[in-house]
Amino acid sequence: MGKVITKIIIIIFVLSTHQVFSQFDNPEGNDKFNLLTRGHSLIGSNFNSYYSSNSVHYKFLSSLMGNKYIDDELKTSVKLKDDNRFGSIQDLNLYYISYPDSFLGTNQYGFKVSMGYHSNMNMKFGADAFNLAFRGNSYFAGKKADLSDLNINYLVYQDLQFGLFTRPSDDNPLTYYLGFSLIKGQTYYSIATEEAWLFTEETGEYLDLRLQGLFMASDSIKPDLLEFAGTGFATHLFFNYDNIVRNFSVSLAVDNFGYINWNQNSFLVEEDTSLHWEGIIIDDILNIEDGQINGFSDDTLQKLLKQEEHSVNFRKQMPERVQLSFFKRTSKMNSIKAGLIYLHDVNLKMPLFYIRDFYDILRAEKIGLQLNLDAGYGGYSGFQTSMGMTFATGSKEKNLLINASTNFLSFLIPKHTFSQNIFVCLSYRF
Amino acid sequence: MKKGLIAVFCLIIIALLFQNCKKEATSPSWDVGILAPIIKTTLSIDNLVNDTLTQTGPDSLISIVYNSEMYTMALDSIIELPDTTIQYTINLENLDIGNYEIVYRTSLGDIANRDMEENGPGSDLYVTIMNAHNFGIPSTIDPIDQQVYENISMDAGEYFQTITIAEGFMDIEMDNQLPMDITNLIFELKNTDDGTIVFQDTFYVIPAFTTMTRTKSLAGLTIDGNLTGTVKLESPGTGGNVILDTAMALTSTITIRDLEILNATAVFPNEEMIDLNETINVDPGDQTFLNRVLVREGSINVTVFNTIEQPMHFNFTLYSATLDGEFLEIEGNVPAASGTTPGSLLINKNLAGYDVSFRGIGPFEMIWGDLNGNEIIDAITSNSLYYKLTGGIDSTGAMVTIDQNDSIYLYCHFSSIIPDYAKGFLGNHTADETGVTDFEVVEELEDTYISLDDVRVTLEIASQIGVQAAIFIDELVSVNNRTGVQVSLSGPVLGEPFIISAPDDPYSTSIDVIPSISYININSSNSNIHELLENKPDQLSYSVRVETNYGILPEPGSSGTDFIYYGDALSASLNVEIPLSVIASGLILEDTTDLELNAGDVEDVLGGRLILIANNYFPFQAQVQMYLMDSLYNITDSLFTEPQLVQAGIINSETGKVHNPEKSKLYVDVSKERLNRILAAKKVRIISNFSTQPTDEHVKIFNWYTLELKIVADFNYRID
Repeated sequence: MGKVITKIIIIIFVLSTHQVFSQFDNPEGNDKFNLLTRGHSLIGSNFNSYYSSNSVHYKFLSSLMGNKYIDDELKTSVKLKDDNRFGSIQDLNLYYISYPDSFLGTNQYGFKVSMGYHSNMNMKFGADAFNLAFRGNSYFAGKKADLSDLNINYLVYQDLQFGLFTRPSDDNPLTYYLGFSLIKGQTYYSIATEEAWLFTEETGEYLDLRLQGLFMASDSIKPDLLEFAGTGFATHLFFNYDNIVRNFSVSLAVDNFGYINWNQNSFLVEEDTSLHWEGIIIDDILNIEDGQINGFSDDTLQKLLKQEEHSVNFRKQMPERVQLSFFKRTSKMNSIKAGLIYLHDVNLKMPLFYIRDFYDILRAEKIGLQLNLDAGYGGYSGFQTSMGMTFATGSKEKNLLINASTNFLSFLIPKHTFSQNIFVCLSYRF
Repeated sequence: MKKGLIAVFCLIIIALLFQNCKKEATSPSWDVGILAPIIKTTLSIDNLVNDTLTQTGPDSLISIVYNSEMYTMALDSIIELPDTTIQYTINLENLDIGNYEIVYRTSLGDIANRDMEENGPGSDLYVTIMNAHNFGIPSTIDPIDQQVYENISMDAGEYFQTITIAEGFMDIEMDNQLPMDITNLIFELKNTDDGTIVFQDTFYVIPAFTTMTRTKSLAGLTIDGNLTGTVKLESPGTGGNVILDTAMALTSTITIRDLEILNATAVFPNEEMIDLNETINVDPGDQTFLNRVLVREGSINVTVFNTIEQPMHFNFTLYSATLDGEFLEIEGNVPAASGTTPGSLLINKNLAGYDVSFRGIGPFEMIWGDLNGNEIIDAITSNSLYYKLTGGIDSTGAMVTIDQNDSIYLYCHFSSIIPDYAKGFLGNHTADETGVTDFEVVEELEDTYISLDDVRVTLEIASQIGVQAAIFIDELVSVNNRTGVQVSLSGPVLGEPFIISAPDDPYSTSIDVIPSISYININSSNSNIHELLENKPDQLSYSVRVETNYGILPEPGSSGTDFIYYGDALSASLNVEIPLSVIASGLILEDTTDLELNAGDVEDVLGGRLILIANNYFPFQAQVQMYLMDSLYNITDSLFTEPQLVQAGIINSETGKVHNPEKSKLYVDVSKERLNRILAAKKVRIISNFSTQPTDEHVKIFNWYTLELKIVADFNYRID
């Protein structure tokens, strides 16, 4: 009875904080090593779509991604702060893991081959940047829109990974994994301003733009899935300690330690410029030619950013990910997971520290339903709580596992939910 | 197995479809407000004269004044503040490493013990002294033969290891508090390591209860921190019974002082080595005597190099410069040198906005007393800045070596100073200007409107520089390049000085100086000007000269009241004023032009308004209306629901000119429907109704007058 009351209190707390988060699940599938015993293999796929912010709620994001109209009420409902953060990650991984009786002349090694599609968008922005983008510059008539310290990154890449794992003996609770990825860079954009602002004169008589920052973009003529805009290399490490007797495990994963070389047609410029704009100067107002206006946007902006002069290849570090987690089954129906997650160079305020409590709502032979309550601190926001649901089906006999989880509060209170996660895992062991 | 594989591949296909679907789907949309200038155009008299001024109607005279600028003298021609440097080097000569004091005490007990050591426990002197001390019985000390105290360790090692002295002194003070005279006292001090004698002297008699001091120069000596002393002494005894106390002593105090060192390995104490109250002269040249400058641009760079292995600090305060009531102060900490690499510090400070008094140290001494130690209150002067420089070593307590090559070097450099305002006596400058200016009378006016007798030629000098000056016309030539004929000006007007009075100082950089205007009429009584005009010149070649403070003697000191503001100038121009008879009101300009706009540019515009911003120098107002028409000239819409007014430029009553344009804003509401009508229009008719302002006065139109028009879009735009 006491536990039930505790859960109710937690639920009330979650709803009242109006902040939720969802986990960063490891999309690499390395947690599947433990499912394998010698002489078996596993094929699986993980799909993870995640977003989190300290200001942009799910309703706004779903309207944006769902191609809906964003009205003023929706814009106003965004909880803007001086320092706003947003991060979005999509990963799709297909992997094959084998732990054969003998490999490389010993019986201690297994291997993994995987391929994945990854997309990562993250940004740090001030309230002015949001209002300029979604309300326009007339919102700032007579004022400066401060765009300083704006940082936006968008990265899409695919990888092909090979790796070896070892478990020194069948009884040994330790698992080690070392993997290497060949990376195909598809798209990369980065904007990082130092000092930037746009001043709009009160009646629009002139605009003053100050732009100081670093701008990078990958080859714009190779934006498609099958095109190579860049190539790279990354390493992956995984360690797991599984204590079956005491029902707990500890794991550490370091992924994407590497870089991408973006090709010669990429664009990198350190811009430090000021622009005063008073309109297109017409010598004879009575003979305006249409081309004078059409010609402005492309040519002038291109000159401003001097694109032609800055086509250059450059190397960019991958967004490395470090995950440390501790998992313990506390009772037959209950377990907890705690840890930290850190991604480098993706505008995280700090590592995300979290604790998750799993409660088995349904635990039948072929189906399971789990409620999870989460609390965390860091990541793209401060203190966060969330409530998720995990569905699993499969059987030991048929070795099929389907696992899906999501943060369902985002569907119930979308204007008060600041993160969402959809995680789907399918795996088959044979 | 098969089911599992199928499930995995289904998931991949779904995910890929998700990606593809996203690309093909329509975009999200939202509305933004765009407020931006679209078009800017400038209309001059050349644009308007064809239509406007050839109309006839009710009377009022308008004169077009062709204004050819010939000469401009700006601030940089008058004042150029030179880059100025303050340098200061602190070397060992300036370094005070402090005084050292070593004390050695020879008590009556020591004398007794020495006697006991030399003559055994039963020695007379020992017994006498100890009995007298123990029982308080007055006793007599017999004469004492020479006692030698050798190998007395006098350790100054905690202060220095070695010092080579250029100049310095050692004081040996012998304080004889023994109850007997000391005679033939030989005091010797030598370096322990090499045995070099540092000091040796004999005190023949030191009477009881007296002090004697000897001083010795240490110049050229090297002193170790580890010294060994030797004291030899004799005494005639007390000569009678006296109270004896073994604590009574002869105290030797060795003071090493006033050291100027060649090199030293020592612990250098915290020491303020620099304390300067100085002035620096800034000479702008040309007999210019400044007393105040407001700085527009400029900087001061302070560079400090420190070769001493101790950190140091400094403070540079330029009391002559203030910003918001605060003195200009630069301070910093310079790190210690590391090996042969000196510690260094570079500080750059922007001087923009500083109010700099060039009146020297005098005004400060009047408040704070004698600052520079010259024992007088200095007079207020000009071209002089007062600063204070302080600094010193921040001791780390470590033993460091310094020699003559070590120094602290401080370099302050004022550079690229451009005044916003300068005041003082601005000197006697002479500036010549020779040049050619275009002189193209509007062709339409040439034959029809010019009556040579009515044409007035005037040399106009506008001065915003607060200094009396004289201008001379040395040459003026009418050049007709079409015919190749040149006619030179002759007559009394040539070479004659014309005095230009100074304008009033507004005492504010935000208020424009109203220029003093002087006119020199060039007419047939003082020149052959009509011959020059009859030549129908397209260019004028000229040579003019300006002398500031013409005929005024320089005024050293701070009493000068000349001034100049940044951007202001003394300019001379030749005005050729051509009177015209034209309409003063109800002057209609009507023009129709083709219009071809691309709907693609504005298809996402939801509506809003256009703002027409007019900045008008012309002293006439205009009512404007624009009609949109189809290809058959049928009016489809008008931009303004009623004609709107572009305000006239306001003529300054003193100068007769419009100095600042008058701004008008005309608003045009543009709905989506109206925007479509504008896009569909094929022609636009612009009707302007001009009226001179004021309507009952003769107005002059200067050829540099313009009407600047800007069209600003204030639209709601849908982004999708």
